[in-house]
Amino acid sequence: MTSDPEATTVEQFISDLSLGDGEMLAALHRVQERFGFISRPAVDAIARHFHITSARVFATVSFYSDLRLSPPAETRIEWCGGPACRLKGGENVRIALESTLGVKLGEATPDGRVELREAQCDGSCHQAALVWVNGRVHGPIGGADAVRLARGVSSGERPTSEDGDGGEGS
Amino acid sequence: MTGYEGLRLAADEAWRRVLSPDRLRVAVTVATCGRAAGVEDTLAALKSEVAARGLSLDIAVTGCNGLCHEEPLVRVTKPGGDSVLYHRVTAECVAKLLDEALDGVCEEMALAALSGQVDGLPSLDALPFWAIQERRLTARCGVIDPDDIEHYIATGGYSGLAAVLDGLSPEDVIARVTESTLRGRSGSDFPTGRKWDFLRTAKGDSKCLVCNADEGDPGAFVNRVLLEGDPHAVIEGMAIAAHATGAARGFIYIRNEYSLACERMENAVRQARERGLLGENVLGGGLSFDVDVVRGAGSYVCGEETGLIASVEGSRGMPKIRPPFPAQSGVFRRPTNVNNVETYADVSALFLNGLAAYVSTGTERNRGTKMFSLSGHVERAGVLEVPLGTPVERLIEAAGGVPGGRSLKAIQPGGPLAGIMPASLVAGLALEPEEFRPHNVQMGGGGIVLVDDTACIVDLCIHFERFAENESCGRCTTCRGGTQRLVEILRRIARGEGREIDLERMRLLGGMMRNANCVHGQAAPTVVMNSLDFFADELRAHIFERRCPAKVCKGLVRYEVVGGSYAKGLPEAAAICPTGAVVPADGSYRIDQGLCVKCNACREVAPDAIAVVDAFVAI
Repeated sequence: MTSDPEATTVEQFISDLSLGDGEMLAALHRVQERFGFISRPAVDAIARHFHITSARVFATVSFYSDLRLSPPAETRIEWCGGPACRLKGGENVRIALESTLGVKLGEATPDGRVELREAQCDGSCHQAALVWVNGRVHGPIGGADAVRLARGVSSGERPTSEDGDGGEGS
Repeated sequence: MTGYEGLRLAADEAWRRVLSPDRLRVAVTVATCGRAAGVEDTLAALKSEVAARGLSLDIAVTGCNGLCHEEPLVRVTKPGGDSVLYHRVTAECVAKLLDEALDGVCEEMALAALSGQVDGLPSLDALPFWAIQERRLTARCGVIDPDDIEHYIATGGYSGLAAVLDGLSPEDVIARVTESTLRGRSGSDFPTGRKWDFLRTAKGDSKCLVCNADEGDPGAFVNRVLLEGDPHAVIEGMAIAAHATGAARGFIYIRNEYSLACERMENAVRQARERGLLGENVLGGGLSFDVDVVRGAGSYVCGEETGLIASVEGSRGMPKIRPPFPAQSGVFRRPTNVNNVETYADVSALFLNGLAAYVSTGTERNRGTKMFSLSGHVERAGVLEVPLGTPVERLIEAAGGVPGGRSLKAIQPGGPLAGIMPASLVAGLALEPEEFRPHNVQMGGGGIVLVDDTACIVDLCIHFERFAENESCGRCTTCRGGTQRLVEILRRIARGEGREIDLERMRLLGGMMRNANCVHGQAAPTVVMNSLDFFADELRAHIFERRCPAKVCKGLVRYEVVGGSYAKGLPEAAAICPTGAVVPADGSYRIDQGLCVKCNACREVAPDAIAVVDAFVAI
């Protein structure tokens, strides 16, 4: 059963955690930080460790938007879905990103290199409207900045720390 | 209480070196808001520049003091104690700061004098943003190093807990909390003392305390400022609650978006354990209580207390039907009490400053202070702590009001489920929960989003209802289906396909959703219900005139070239358009309406040449 090297690694990773101490989410975070996502064998390994069914682990993983069952893309653009961003042209940014990349929120480009997803407000609202590119804030940006950003990452350019000039939507 | 005295002596010595350092001390505000403004680059530039110049100074870190809009913030303290706060110190400005601020004052970036007399600089208290505040919970935010427990102890931290363990019975503690009038600061508004008494008198062993740090309301970040700036205040409040309720185990559930808060809280818990402030026989006073940090994984509904409990248990964060209430059966079926971050911090402040000081401000019904975060269409986004009962208008004024000469249209307090109210009702409104309720709006946890007259109410309703729909746990059809139907109707209205009966149907839906299992579904239609009450004309314009007065709803506007061939920027507009909709025509350009996705990019590069016009009305 545990011949899968990844499963063995997973079990070693979380050996100190116990379900009764409220450490299921900690286990999932640890596995995701190590492997980038939570694979099906990892789900099984976590279930074995906690002596619960894989279905229960899967139920948990699939409920939370920050836990993923597939590997992340090289460039991850996260669009802030908060109200301050919405008021400052966040919809323009979303439409610009989606049209330039040719994907919708929650999808990756066909080559799998760039993914676009919605993320939640963390109170960096003084920089609205903003997106995170691989965890780094780009903002304030408007539709035009978003087009440039998306074109840059699609053509393989490394995202820079240059922020936009803050074009606001009407 | 020799245990505490010993800790205090060592801490006082460490703190003296902060207030009056032997050599220059440069403290950088590292918080989530500062990171967004590039503080990590500032810190890196500072370290390398100091090393390159061979400067003899100490670099320290603090949390955010609420001036999020001024970040990155840097505080320079000279030997002897003169201290100046510098703002917007980006990485490129570091060299200039070091050139000028170490011997004198770097006037270009100086914001305020923090201590001592510095010629020509106002004190922090003179800033409108600061003058209105009464900083009790935030007294340490932006001042202490949140990763250093000694800073917390030297500023009075854990003395309240020491006093409680030294002589107050659980009943005494609860009586004092009740007398303070403290009620749940998340917006639940439930008397904290009574809630604690439920747990104290509950039958069962191994009772639990939970701190709800799942501040999921978009646009609210008061808890984040506390968690990142003064984590021990939460731990101390929980330890006092543990003594009062008999709880032995605590969980601090922090949302995943607050990764820095998680790191700082985990570190704070470790330091508290090392010093005997958590664990067996705390401070030798007989209390045994320990705390673990649980990191959420992205789910709004986990802010609902039974959803949060399910999440701590490692399950899907789906709220449960009550009874049983958490005080009877909570985390792993143990009797449990859940309070908000700010509520626990308030308890620490109460037992540090005493009841008389606590009740010296606020209103008859609501003593004390409350933290508020302002965002959206506001000049100075950030966090302020003011006495309860402060007029909303004064708070908005202190934050500089609505920028760009626009006028305030509405405020959205308390998150997406708490409702929205028009500017006309803001006049004379005081910041306490009872003032908001008659308007069917909740004051909530402290987030306030300002909305100016460029915003469209239908667009905002779609925004909030879509959020409620996405974050519905899906257990009850009332919420799952109700939010879906609201979004469908609103989207139809925004496309110009609204029907007269939609207004009535949304009311019907909103009324029905009050029967949802938990507060998520019950409160989800609030924004729509408020809009039907307060912004009916705007909704009607969408439905009957197929017109969006603010020209926001994409289905009701189109982009047009208005400047002719000489208008500046049209070739650039054509180049930026992601769909190639800006096409050459008759020596100029026109917008191909079939291709246009209305992302506004062209208008940003050619503002004089391209306009947004009503789609269904002749120009």
